[in-house]
Amino acid sequence: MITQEIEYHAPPSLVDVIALLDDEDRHVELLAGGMSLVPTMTLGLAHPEVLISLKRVPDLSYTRLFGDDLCIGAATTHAEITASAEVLDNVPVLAECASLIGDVQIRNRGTLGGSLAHADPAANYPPLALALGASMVIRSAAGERVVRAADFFEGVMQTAVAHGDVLTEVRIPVPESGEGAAYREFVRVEGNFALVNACAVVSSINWAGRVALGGIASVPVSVGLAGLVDAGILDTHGLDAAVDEMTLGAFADINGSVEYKRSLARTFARRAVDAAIGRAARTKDEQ
Amino acid sequence: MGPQAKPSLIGARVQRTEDPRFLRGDTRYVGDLQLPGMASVAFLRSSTAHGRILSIEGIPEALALAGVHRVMTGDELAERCAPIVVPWETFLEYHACEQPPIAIDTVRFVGEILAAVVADDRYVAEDALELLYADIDPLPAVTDPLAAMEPGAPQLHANIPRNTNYRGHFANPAIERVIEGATHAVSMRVRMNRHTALPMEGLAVLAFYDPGTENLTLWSSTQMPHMVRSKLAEWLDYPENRIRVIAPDVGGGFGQKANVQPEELILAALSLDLRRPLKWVEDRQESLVSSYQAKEEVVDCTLAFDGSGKITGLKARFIGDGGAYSAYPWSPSAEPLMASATVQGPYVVPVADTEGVCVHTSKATCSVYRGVGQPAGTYAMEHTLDMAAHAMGIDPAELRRRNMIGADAFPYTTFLGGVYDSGQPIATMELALETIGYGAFRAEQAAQREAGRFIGIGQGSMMELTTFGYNEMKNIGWGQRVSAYETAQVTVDPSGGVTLRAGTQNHGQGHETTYAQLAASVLGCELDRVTVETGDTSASPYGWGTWGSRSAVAGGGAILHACEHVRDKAKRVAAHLLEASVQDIDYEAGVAFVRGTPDRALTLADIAQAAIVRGDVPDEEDPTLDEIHTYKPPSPYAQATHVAIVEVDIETGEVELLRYVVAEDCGQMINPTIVEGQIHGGVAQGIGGVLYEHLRYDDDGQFLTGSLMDYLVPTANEVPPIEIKHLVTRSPVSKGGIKGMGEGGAVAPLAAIANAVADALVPVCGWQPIDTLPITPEYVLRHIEANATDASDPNKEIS
Repeated sequence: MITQEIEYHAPPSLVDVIALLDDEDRHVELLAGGMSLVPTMTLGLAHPEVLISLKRVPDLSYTRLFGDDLCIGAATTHAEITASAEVLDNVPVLAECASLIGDVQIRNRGTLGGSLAHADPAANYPPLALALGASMVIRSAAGERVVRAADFFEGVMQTAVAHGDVLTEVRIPVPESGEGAAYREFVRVEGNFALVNACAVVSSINWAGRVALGGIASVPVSVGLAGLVDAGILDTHGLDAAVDEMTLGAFADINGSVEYKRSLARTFARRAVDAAIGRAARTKDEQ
Repeated sequence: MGPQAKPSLIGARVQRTEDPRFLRGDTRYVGDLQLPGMASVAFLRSSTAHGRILSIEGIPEALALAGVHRVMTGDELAERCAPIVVPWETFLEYHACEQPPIAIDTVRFVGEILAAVVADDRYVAEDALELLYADIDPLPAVTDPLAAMEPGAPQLHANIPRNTNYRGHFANPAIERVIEGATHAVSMRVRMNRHTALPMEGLAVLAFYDPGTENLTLWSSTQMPHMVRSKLAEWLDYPENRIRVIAPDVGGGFGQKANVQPEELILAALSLDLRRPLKWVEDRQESLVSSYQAKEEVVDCTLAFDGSGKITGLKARFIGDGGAYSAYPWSPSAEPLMASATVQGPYVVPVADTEGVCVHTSKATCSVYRGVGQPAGTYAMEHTLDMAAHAMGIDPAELRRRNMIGADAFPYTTFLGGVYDSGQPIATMELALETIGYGAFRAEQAAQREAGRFIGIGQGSMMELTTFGYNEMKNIGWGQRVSAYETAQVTVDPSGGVTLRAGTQNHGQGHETTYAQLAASVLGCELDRVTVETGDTSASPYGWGTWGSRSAVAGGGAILHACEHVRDKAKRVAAHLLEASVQDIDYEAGVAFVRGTPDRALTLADIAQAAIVRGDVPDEEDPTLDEIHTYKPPSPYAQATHVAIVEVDIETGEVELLRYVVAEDCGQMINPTIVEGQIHGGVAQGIGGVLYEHLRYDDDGQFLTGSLMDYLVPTANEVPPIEIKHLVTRSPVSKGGIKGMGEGGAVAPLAAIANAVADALVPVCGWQPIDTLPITPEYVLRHIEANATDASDPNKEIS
């Protein structure tokens, strides 16, 4: 249970949120869906003194196309993403990924921005953000900046969202024609975090692409597929070697040894890439 | 026109009458109860596995916090409450330890209570816990039961050398000769995982000492309210007739709540001290770290066979890891004892030598959990049988067929002298095999293997000791503490309504429905005219609660008898009212009438009005329709075969259940829907035990699985549809032909699923025993890696 006294705010605007974040003395946390922060608090692992809820801030929950990007408000829930026509039509792999998060209750409350800012190493979105080249829009008193996924994840539960920042939007480039993408994960019991997850994107035009892995290291890791896919055929040994190289930082925990996690990484990288190739090939056939 | 004979409700698929209130949330659990002036209790629990308690610091600071009323340590509690101890005079070797409900001097597991805090609410109480600090001088911990038995191991209790609290050897000196002379003999060792019942509702206690009446009332989420009352009286030295224990709605127990809990004693003592109501509701972390755990064993099993594949001998040893203390009334020895006593299963075993050993370790105390030892015993027999089948080149089902007890051999005396009352194990197994399509499976398996998929089939056949009857309990010696009779009181009110009271304690089994079915069948009334009251020591006759698959036989038998007495009394009163001879009275469908003249019929309500309100009864009768009957139940055996088909992903090691079939025979069913619900729940818990659930400690005794993110429990997504078939062999020894069946669902899944996994892996690494549970994906990969090189299967092909 949560034992400490907490000061709670639910300001009506982003400006007010940012003003409240300007508190050097106390531990301040932003509260979105609460699906990670609140359990962490009940387990006594986080002790914020001030909670700022985003629930009354308008215009943080949306999915819309802007230019070449699919733009998603940070407070959009996993359930909304799963059901969004813009997502399903343009970046269906995001809906696939969101639909596998937790359980119905968690998907109804948990948000895209909350999950990315929390940056659990085993969360669903980080490898997807990395593979698809997403960008994160961050607001602070100093203004707005855009951080690419490759620069966003800094460590276990550490991101480019710094003191005084609010993550407001995620931008995902809409895949070009001929691209296929897939998300695969290994969970033991439905609703739990993945031991390892993978997101791959492959182009059937030039067979270039990228596969990213989560759950294996403190931050998501990825590797380009150039030279590993030829005419829709994956060089599995080549990919295994590439995955082995990028999973040298794997850590053991109660879910498995380093050796086992690295073997899962190889398997799920292959499965994600194979699925992405299949989808890319179908996209090609349709044209 | 006579009364229409109604079909008996015994055996009918009646919908559970208690479900509407559960589904609507109109239930009342201990957590829902509020009393004026009620305060909350929270516990300081040890984060050290083993050590000397030097002091509890911070008590003045905690007491200074607004809303904190009391901090109680072990020394203070000792002035009010004796330690928990489980005395047992037995022909077997046994040593009882003492457990102060709050630790004194020494702490022996992570999660043990060091102090109790009373405060206005749980928030304040937990704030106070943050101010307390236990200064503990650590001692070496011992977490492995085999290591704990070694000389020089840290000794946890001064009176228990080598930490060995129980050793029961059912010796047969002929066994070594039988094994030496066998045509085939196979042996295996398996480490069974420690897991836990995890009821949806954890423990919860509300203690209320009323200074006016000097009555102590304890609401507790328990399976055994009368026993709790008796032990409160004894250990608190308080008059038992001034104590009332009430178990309101209870959200599951599975054996974990069939023990006296330290928290019950602490809250009662504190309430007596503070003279106000006090509540504690266990949270999920406490439920995992400190509530009674179960089932950790190291199992060795050897089976010997003659040239025709008949079993000639069985040797088995079960070493139970009992954890730190001994839970009343079972002691942790229940697990290895039951395994060693039931390992024979449904097979003819000419010579058996079995042993159970129980060892204290620096981990939470183990007690009883659904099946108690029978899953381990069944695993030992069934997995070793599969090992033998592969070694001898005999189909596993055929090997069982050759060794199962024939239906004509019942009643059958086991190697221990117990009696299997009835059954038809071979027909049950054949029904399960036919249902799953065993004959066609091997071709399907080969075709799938061609397609790169690895599927396997496995079975687990069992005899389920149910009810733990009056004589059985005496024989085991448990009868010294739990004599296990059952009493029912059946009261007809002036309107003809029927109230049943029994000493069993419904905590999810559907007794409100099934007991009413029994009464309505005997008394011929409508189901909704029957009310069932259990779980309140002031309302129910003294009884032994619900555990050990006992309520249908023990409680049900007592109810059937008492209802028959009421029916007989109603006939006598009716004879008096109708001026006829009792011999001429028929009682059908709830009305009594003179045989041949059904138009002069009296309903149960008519008879009740006459007897209870007008006193219009024969002179020698009391003007009541109220009967009480005490039943000393037998121990009928149910039996079942479970068959699982699994697919193993040999890249990840993941095991997926594709199909699960149960063919079972629990005698006369009261309500097949409830029987099936019990099987569903049991199988789900068995799946959890064999594939997912594992309470883990590191070598220092630190607890590693304190949340449901780390302690994996199967969800509806991991449990396949369970296909159930029934056979009915009525018990010749129990009232109504009923057998218990509450635990059986959880007994066989471990064996069936492990056998299926081993079968699926034959093409990868030959048949090798699954020697560590749970079967995690990583275990599967290591198992393949360890055995792939020396696989003996000639058909071996590595993909």
